[in-house]
Amino acid sequence: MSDGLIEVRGSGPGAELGPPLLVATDLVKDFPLRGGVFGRTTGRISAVAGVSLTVRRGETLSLVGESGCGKSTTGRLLLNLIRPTAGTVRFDGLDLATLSGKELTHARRRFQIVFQDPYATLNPRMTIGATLGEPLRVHFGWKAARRAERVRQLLDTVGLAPQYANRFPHEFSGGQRQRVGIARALALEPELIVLDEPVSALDVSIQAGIINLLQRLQDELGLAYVLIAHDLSVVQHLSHRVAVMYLGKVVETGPAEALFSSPAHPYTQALLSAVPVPDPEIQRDRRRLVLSGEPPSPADPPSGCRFRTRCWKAEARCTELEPELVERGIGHRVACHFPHVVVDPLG
Amino acid sequence: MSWPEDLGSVHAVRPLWASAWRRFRRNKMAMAGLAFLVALVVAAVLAPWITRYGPTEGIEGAYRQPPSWAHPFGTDKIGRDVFSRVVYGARVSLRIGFASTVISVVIGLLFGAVAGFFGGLVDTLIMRLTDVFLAIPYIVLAIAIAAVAGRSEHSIIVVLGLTGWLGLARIVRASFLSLKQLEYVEAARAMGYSRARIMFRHILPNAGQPVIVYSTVLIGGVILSEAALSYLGVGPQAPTPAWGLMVSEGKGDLARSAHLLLLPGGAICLTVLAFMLVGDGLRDALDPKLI
Repeated sequence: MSDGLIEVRGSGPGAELGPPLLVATDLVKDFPLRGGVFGRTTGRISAVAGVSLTVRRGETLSLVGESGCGKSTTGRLLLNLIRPTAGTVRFDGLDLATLSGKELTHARRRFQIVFQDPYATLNPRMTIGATLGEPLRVHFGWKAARRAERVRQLLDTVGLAPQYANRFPHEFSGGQRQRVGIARALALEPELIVLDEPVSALDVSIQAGIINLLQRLQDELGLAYVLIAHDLSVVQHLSHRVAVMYLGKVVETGPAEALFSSPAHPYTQALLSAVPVPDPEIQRDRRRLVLSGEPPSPADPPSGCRFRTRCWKAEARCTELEPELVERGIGHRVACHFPHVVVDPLG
Repeated sequence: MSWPEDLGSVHAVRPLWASAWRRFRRNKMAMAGLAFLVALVVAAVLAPWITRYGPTEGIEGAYRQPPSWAHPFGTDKIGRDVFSRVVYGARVSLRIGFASTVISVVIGLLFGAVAGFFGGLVDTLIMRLTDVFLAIPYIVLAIAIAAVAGRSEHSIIVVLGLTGWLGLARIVRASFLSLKQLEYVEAARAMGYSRARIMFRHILPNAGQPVIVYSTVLIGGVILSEAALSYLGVGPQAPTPAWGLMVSEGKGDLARSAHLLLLPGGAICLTVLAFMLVGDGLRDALDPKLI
């Protein structure tokens, strides 16, 4: 493994961290395709097709994959922002689908989300103080003075001046808005935060600041993160465990260290080979796996292995039989008929 | 909520309305419209003090006089001072314009917000309902209501209020449909806020600009409709000083005393035009892309 690139967090696999906080089992989400005069359902987009995930307290699980692979949908399913077609999400033992409206509202304190677009994430008609104070009012019924105190504290936590509270979002830069978005997610002291592409809309120079902030908050507050990202450098930096998604399915999952050093699924190998290496000599000599074509339409996924249409290893068996996720190492599971570990894929 | 100190120097808090007003002021036509409307409202409120005669008071011997110093807008065939009638007529028009627009806005906001926010079957039902209403010409409805409830200002307000909300409902629905996809609305859902809070605190204030613009133009449209209904004899009864009614009464003498038709007609034109100009100016001033 080349030095300087892969710095996987923590010393060991995520198994050493806390007990399971969030357990998703066989999540499926189909979106109906409507057409015709009467808006009849003419087909289904299979956005998420049977995803099972576990997030432990204090760890970061990353969901990676191309755009359109269902990772953002999965993130929203985990928070019950959209209802799954099938499957369950248990948060600390609570089955979110069975909670009453009141119970769900109460439970929502414990899991929050940070969004991708810093320009759409804040209500343009509300001051930062109002945005951050609102959850405290709604959930705790705090009076103005107490809310103001907590808002100051939140702004300070994310590295913004407390005086910013009476400004409107349009007075801030993208990076500052993203910090406000993080402060809002922290307001109710959640245990888990879904980070939906938290830095991909920011300048590279700003990204590092946000990543460090997220890392510091996790260490200080013991937060669990579900990080949705397509930038593998960010993922490497923050993750304890990684799940690689392709067309609505998890194709490989495991401790970040194992997955990055010895990817077994051809799709993971191709993804990793696209990560630039900050050493021109290594970069010049390494073999890049470039996938041809586009991902198939999720309205009409291929039979058998969903990746077979772009896989250089595909054989007849891949068309007929869908590969299951099979354990290959401690917590390292791969869904491929012909898994082959490439040691040091970046070399 | 108030925080005592500000960083002070570079960025002062700039409320969105202040910058909108700055842009509005630069639009000369809109400012002219606004000036006219302000003058009209002041005249309507102060009518008893700026007119010498009552609006229904006949002056002995002064029939069908052309404009003069004593009667700046002349007098009509039964000797009433036309200036007084036009000024008092502004009260009637503005009252009807504002009252029925308020009814339209309330109904339109409610139906549009519910349709756009909930979507699905609710949306379909509400939108079909607006289609049904669109198919009923307001003049026919007005005649029907006037026949049942009698000719009065109130029935006109109800008729125009009940027919004016359709466009508003569509505008509000469209705004809600696009705004509810935004991340801050999703964030509000993730916070567990109630639907009412999300609809009225997070979506509605951001859907407000087209509503304000549309309502302003709608007031002008309502005043025009009111004049049309009065002209047809479905509106307020004589001797109420309604502009449409005055136009109707003056149309017989166009050759000899054109002022009886042209002056109240001009008042209608200018008032409607002023509302349109202000609405136009507001649309440009409130454009969120400029903020």
